Amino acid sequence: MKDRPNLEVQETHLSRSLSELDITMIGVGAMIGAGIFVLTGIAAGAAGPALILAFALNGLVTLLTAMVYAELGSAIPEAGGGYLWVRESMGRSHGFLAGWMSWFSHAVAGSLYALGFGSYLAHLLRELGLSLPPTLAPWLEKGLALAVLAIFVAINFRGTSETGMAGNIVTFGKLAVIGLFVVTGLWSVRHEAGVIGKLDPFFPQGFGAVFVAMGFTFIAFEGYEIIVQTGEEVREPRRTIPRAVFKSLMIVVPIYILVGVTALLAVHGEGTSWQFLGRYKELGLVEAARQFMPFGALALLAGGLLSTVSALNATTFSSTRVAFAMGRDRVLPEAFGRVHERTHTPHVALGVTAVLMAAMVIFVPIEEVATAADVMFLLLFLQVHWAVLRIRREFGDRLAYGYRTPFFPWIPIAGIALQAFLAIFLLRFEPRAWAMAAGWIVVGLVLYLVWARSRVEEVEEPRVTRRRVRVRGRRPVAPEEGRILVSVDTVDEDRTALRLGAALARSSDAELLAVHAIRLPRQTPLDAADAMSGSRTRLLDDLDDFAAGEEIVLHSQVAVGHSVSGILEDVVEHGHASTVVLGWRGQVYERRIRGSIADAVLHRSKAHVLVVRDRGLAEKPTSIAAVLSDGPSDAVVLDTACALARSFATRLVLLLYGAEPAAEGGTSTDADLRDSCIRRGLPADRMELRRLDSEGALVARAIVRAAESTDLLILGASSDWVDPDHLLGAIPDAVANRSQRTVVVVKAEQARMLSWLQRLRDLWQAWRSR
Amino acid sequence: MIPGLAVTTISLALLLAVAGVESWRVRRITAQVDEALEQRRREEREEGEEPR
Repeated sequence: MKDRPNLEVQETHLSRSLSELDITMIGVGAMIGAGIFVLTGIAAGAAGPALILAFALNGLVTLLTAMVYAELGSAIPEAGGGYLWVRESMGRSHGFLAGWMSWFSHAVAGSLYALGFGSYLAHLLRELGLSLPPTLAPWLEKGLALAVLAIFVAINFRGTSETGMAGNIVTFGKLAVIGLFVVTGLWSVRHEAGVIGKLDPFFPQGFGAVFVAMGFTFIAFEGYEIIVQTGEEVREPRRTIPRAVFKSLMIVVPIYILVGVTALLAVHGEGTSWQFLGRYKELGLVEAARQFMPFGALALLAGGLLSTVSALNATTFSSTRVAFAMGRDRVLPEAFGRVHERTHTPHVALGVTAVLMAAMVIFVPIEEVATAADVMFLLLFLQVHWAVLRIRREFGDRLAYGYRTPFFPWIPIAGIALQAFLAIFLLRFEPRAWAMAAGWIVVGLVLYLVWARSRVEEVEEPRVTRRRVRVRGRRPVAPEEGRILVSVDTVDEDRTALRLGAALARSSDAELLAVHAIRLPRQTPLDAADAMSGSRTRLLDDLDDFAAGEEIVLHSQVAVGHSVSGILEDVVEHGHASTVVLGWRGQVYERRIRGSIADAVLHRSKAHVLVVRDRGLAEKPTSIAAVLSDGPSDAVVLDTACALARSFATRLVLLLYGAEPAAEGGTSTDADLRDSCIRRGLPADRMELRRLDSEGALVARAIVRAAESTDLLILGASSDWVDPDHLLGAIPDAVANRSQRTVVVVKAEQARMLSWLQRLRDLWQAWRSR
Repeated sequence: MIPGLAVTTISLALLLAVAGVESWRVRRITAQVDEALEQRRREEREEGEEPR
């Protein structure tokens, strides 16, 4: 490896941008959805009114598993979830089985949601008057299921995914539909005498049917698997993951019970209410809502479609991630571990998963698909309970836990016993689903023994503890002066930004940090970035040459994340940056700047931001112009201009327009401004003050003209930068576009209130664009 | 019916209570672990080792 004397290389930094609220909503969204919409009717038919007891007991059983997930998720917060923990604690042979089951269970769950979607959409078409002969109806449902599956495979291949806000809107939409269902249902029976008698007999199918319903609906409680899979992206995962796991359960279980109670009490029809629900199976809740809720059937269908679509999306990329991880571990063909050159998504793993899901959709009825998914999840969780026992015993003293399961080891042991019991009970209910699950396991075992075992080098030392020690070399420490952070794609493209960053660092004796941000699609785990190191080696060489030429020590970091704003927000915070310098190459007035790096950083950064519109910078600049205009960033503009003028040893021309500039937080006279520059270390003979008389649209032209004789122009973002039509404000945008000089637009760190206003504006825009 | 409803209610109450307490316990455990880690770092620094 090349020796790099001027370059301090820090290792790849995985960006953590999700908060406790974000992942709690992810967990709630994953649970309250397809499971409750699709399975309530089927489970009511199986257990009668005892359905609500099944929900409550499932909540308790799930709580045991949730504790285990909370413990492991807090101690080993990485994307693999159950597969990773089993592999790390028990070796790759057990890991293979866990991954094989996890892949299948998520794929089967995806098939269930695709089938649920097909059924709901076909029903909606019937509601709208489209009728097909009865013989064709089941094929329409399967056809629609395959179509939605194809759409989501394409979406996952392209790497696009619902954003955090869109995901939250979907979750709130589902909660609103369910809330209306409960309120209108209970309201409709408020005067009905003896309504509670509808729950009698409570166990019409016998007590054993409760366990059948529990096993059957277990899939609707497994949001913690999705929560822990976000582990590598969560801030403060040791604390955040366990709390999100528990909070999501506390939200979801009461809602399930309320839905069950409402459906059982408010439905009228032939036979008892539970028979009614059971007769309509996955459409049970839709038919119930039709009776007491205005536009109930349509609302429930809409809620069901939203739920199945978001659940299908989540399970498609969960199962793909597992297959991808197994490919990278070489326990599945290595092609599974490849990412597509253009989209950076695991296309082979996705394609094979899609074929598996499509086969289930075509050949297996919905009840058996649901049961097969439940059986696989139960067996997977059994292994995870076993893994927590081993990890605590063998590595517990070396892991930094944020949560420890109480009454250890009895709670994991109780979890193992209860889940084994439920899985076995399902054998009585749907033996064919069990046969399917067992067949998958047998195929996996044969594949492992015949093919995979010889390829796998068993890891001598399990990797749990190794992975904990991620930081090698220098640990980043908080510098006294904040760092100057420069966002770099390539040194050639960002040379001017790097030079300006280096000049600022030199003049304030701060550290310079070059960050190369890599955005991966959500379908690809962040640690997959390790495989894409080709271009990075060249970047490091170029940075080293640059640092040697500038005679500075440059710190560099590669930051990987799923969203640009998340990456930079995280890097600014953990890189202790006080100033961010980034290049902007587009036309700033075009609306396509929305969603760009510059846009994201300007709106979210907790540091001063310098956007560089690069039109080249002379090797030895002779003069710099800075515009002061009584704007919110004037003080930082003056700091920046003086620092650069000092560092480049150039003349500084201060261009003043509008009200008196506010370089020191209040209005300033010419003499004050000169004093300010002197205090900032710039000799009086190297500065010049000019007043611009123009107003309105002519100001931009006047600034451009005045700066023509200088090498660099610096101005502040104006207060109208929050207007969605401007990146930095009307005048700065116009100047940046028209000037033939390199322009630096400075936006001072925004106040918290403005940040919140910005978020409200983002929310409003998202709503308006829907 | 009554026993069934009673068991349902008790199960739900138990779930909410335990999940609530465990969620609260996370903060305490995290604080303890943070303190232990900090203590270890201090000791390593005093012994002149590079913190890990």
